[in-house]
Amino acid sequence: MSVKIPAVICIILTMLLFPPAVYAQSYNYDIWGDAVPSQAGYTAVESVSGNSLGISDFSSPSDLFRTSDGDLFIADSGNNRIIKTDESLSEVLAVIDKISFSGNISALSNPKGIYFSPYDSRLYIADTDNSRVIRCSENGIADLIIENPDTDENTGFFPEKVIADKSGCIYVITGNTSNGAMMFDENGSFTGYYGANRTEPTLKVIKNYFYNLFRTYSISSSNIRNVPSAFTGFDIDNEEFIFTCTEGSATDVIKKINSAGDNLFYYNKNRFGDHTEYYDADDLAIVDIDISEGGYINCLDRTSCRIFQYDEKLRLVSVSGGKSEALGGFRNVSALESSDDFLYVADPDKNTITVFKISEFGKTVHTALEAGSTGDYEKALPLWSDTLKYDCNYYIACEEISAAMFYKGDYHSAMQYAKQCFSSKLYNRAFERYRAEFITGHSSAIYIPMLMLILLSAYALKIRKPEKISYQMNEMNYFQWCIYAVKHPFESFSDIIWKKKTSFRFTAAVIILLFISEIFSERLYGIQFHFEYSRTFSIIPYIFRSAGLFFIWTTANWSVCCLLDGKGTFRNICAVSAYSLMPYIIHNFINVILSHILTYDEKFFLTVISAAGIAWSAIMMISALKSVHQYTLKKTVCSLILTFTAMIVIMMLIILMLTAADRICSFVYSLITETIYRIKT
Amino acid sequence: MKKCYPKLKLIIITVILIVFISFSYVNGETEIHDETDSIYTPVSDVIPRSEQDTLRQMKKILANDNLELYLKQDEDLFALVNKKNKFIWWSAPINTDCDPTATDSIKSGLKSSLVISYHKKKESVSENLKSVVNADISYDFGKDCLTALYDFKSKGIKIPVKYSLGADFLEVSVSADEICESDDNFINDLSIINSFGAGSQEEKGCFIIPDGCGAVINFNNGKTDSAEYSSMVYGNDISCVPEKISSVNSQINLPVYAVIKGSNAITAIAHRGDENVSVNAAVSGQSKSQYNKCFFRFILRESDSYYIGNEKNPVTVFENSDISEKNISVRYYVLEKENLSPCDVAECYRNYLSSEYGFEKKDFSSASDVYIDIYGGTMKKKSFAGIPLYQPVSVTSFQQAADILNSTGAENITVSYKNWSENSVRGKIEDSFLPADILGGNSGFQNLYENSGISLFPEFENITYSTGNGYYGFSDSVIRISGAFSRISGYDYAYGLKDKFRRNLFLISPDRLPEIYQDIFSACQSAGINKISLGKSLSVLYGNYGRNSVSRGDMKNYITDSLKKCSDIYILAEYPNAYALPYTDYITDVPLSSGQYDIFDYDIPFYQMIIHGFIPYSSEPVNFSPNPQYQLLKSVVYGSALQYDLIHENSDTIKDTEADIYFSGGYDMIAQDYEKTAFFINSTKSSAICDFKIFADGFQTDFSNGFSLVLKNDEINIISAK
Repeated sequence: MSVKIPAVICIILTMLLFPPAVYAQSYNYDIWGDAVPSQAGYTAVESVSGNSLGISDFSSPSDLFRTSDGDLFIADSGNNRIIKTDESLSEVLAVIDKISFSGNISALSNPKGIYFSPYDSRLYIADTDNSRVIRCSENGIADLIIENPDTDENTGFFPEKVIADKSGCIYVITGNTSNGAMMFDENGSFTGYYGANRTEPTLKVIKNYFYNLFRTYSISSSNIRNVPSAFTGFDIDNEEFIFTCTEGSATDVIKKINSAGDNLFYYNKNRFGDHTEYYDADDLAIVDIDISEGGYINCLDRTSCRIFQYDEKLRLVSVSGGKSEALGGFRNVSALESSDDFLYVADPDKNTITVFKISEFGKTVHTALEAGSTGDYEKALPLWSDTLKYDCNYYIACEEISAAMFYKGDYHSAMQYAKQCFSSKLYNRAFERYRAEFITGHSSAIYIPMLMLILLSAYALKIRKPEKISYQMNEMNYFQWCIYAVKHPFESFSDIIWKKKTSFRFTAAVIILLFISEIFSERLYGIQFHFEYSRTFSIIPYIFRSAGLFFIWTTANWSVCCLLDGKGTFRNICAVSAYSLMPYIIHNFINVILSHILTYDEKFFLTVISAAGIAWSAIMMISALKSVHQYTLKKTVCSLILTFTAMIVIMMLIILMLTAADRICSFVYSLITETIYRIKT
Repeated sequence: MKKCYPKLKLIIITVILIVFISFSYVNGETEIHDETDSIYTPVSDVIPRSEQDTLRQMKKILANDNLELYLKQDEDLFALVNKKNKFIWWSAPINTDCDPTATDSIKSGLKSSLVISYHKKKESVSENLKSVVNADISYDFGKDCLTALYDFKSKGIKIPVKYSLGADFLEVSVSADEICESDDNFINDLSIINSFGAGSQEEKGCFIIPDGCGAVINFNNGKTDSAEYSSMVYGNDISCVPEKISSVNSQINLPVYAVIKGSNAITAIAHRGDENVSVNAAVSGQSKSQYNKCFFRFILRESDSYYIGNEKNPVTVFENSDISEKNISVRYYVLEKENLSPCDVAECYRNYLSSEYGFEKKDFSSASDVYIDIYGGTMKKKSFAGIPLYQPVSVTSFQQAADILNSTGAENITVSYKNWSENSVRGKIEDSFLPADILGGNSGFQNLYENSGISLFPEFENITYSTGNGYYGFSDSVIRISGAFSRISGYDYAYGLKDKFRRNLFLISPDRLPEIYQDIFSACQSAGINKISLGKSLSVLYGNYGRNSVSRGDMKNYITDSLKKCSDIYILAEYPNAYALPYTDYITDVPLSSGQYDIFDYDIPFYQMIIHGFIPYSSEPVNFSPNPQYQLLKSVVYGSALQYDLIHENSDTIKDTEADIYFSGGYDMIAQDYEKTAFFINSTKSSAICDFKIFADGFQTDFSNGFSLVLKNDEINIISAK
């Protein structure tokens, strides 16, 4: 009989034959958060199956552990056994499928977790389906079995991952508790939970919390409890810090927990794994974490089947793996283990262990990072230069070169490299020293002109004549009026309106000035304060922020005040608003200049100037509108509130119109395309 | 479909009955299995038959000095006997029924000498038909050939297959004109004697697959959890732009595979229809069959998929026009030799190329040891008076290129200059000779061209383009099978999805190619240029499925016809397809590894074995490997010259452009690399590869001039047999 294959199955089959998977080009994330092509840190060298080891094929291997001697333990869960192999994964050293405990021999059942403690040379097995954790020797003679721990919860005990620390304390992740890892002392008695995740403040949680305030106890208790996600994997490093990973969590993806149970990565803002907002991709699912001997944090993501390696500062060092039907690719992943130069990843669907070896490039980066972390910048510097030759996108190299230059005392180069990798922090640090050096080096050139400037201004103040405003007003030009308005925010505006110093031309000039000041404050700000520039300079947002907003403001105010018996004409509103913006514009320019002189620690000055500039402008604006509409203060405030409301409405209308126009454009475009296509075919 | 279901079932059951009754004398009882139920047959009681016994029951139908072809009519089973050593190559395993794990469906698939899949008109459903169960077979014994007529009566499909013998090969062919289809049923693909040379669980042997540089699949390698292998020769049709890019970017560039069993081998070559064929392979244990098999599947109608609205699964559409492929033919060359190695297979294929396509040894007098790709300029979104616009930017100007090349220290460098002209920088079709002004203009180009020690090949790739220079998106681009314009997109590096921030380019319709080539050749002649690079354009094939339909085969013919006409211009190409080999004078970017599919056991330099000593070639760029030093040595032992891709600018300039893959373009170790390897390259480059051995910690290539290069412990050694 002919076999009917529906299209869907056909596609699934094609997907098996031509693996869907991900682009083969290795990549890294640049400073903008974009994936850019990069050199691979690791390359897959071998895929090991049970068959190639000379035993029966693996079945859903779910955990790996590499001892300090290089031997590898594999939890071959589906076959109910633990396999020990040699370093090169070419020979099976032992197969443990049963254990003996005080004379009784029992078989393992779906052991999902394995750990070998270097301190007591004991093997720890999470024997999941037997609901027990076993501590035994390598030949399977157990000296401790933990079953049915004495906890408050009676939900059963399903250990999935296990580790032990130097003191023999045993930590167990179970599949059914969200309180954190279970902790047992060396005698196997339960001592408590460790390092629970936070409940995530998602919208749903907040909503529930809000509703619960008004609910009776019986209703709220029947509601779903907001429990944090449980750990999916953990590892312990040489300094006894425990690193955990959590699948499907937004807040506690990777944690570094000290002995007190505090998360040292609490304030970390890094995003882990693949992160591009533009793509509708599945969420990150870190299923295993492993800390290599050099302190690198290796995370295994099930969604993309990739290994993300971070350094101690949580910078992404390399990305390896992916989904494919070829060497170095996976269908699914369950466990990760690492050594200095190798990564081992278990695929429970292909039933293989893939071995990745560090590449020449990766080795250079590791050596350089390690040299840098021990302060050996002389060694690190040439390595980082090499790194940049092999991969000009590798921004960690720029950061590290900047740091190295800083320690060498070459602050100017340090600033240059910090600029290249857009690191405000590094730039600020180098700039501070550079400035100090510059000032000491050029003290006479700086202090003498400064002194002269102060003396001159003091002299100028002293000889200033008393103002005779009323006489001079007729001859005052717009510039002088500006100074006058800024100096006298409360009384000047009635004069301005009376003298009709309110031309559109002047307004336009101020708007242009505002526009320029906005561009300056965005593009020419000192790097020590500014985090990032948009990549391609476009004036359109600046036009909107200056002219656009100004126009909306004046229009809104005019329309509102027309209804509220305001006396101001559109021209007057524009002009007085323009006068009022002067302090804001001036502060923008002053700040831009100061941002190149001050360091980040002196940001206070900029904040003060900003506050003063904005406040002054606001006061002038209120006073101006009061004068121009001849309102009382109360009415002015009311009109201002209404103006803001009107602005929002106008902006919404504009967005609506733009959306409609966009739709029409794309409709016309597709109409043309379709017509041409019809003509052609 | 529902209506005729009982009828269909009846017919099929009858066919199964006939097949099983023919075995019933062995079996003792008659069992009928419904194919759809895929029930595993319990341990079979069928007694395996011997080769000689089976051959005795067969009829000799064709013979010549070297070969004999036998037929067993009741089973549709062929045997090809090598007269010299009496080795028998079976068209299907003779003991399929003894396979304890195979389902009946698998068994009938193994036994059938013709397997086709077809779709109904306007449906996106594909069904398989197997000759053993679905077809009536009749034979017509001619003088020089045997014609088997497979009549799939229920579907109204008739396919005559011709079997004939050449001096040392069996040729199996189908002429598309003779295929009869009903109005409703269209054939999608077909494979003829797809179990030819299949290896059983007991046999030792391997398949050679020309994926990437070439790979070997050993029989019974135990990789039962890996996916079966299937890959289009000359790559997938790039007009069907996928939503997500494939993770493995290797390609089969040679329409050939081989089955090696000890000192006997079959080299299967897709003689006709090579532009629409896929190579498929499976090992014992995959798909519940205990046989290892490798075969060609000819695609007669391409398919495409598209998404409707927010549907998760795409809709598949098949080509509904006539079969574009005129002839389909596979030649099975029989080889036998003591210690038969992949090099013998390569030699067999090379001889085939010489006799059929006039492939011959190229001029090696000016062959370089170092090949450098330089990337000129590209389009980048830059701010013009505050407004972001796409503008051409220089990545490496002609002067900068000269500086880079002079610093390498190598004497004779072959340089392929990408994006060097006004149009190519802008992504337009380049059919004239106009060096880009931003790179230094015509004078800059001429200075570089006349630079001694540099042999400069300006590149004319012309596959994708944006509107301009007389070629427009709407009128000259390819239309997909799904009916949309084919827009070639960049892909996000992390997700492999279409990059929303890159310019989509059009794909030039293949029927415009002869004109473009003509223009290029005449422009170059008038500019006094006699060396050009065609980039990747000789390694892609696609069709145009719009009104003026052009098939992949047509594109292949357009290209070869154009290349034939320009014998006075030296052509450089990146890893060209087999059909372009006779016309290519220099090859770059020959891969150093296969796609490394899970099913593969190890890589061999098969492509290199074919061209080494015949066409000068270079490897993939050394500087883009994460292991540049190892890549350098591997490339030398694979017989390649060194290849580097270089640019002048740094990451700021190439960010968000098509040139962003040149992240390692600042490499400056070429002089050291060259010094280290020049001796090895020079002592072997013009002789053929005659053997390749793999050790636990390295590999060795033997050359016909008596030298061998050995790579062990990251060190090359040269051994002289003399």
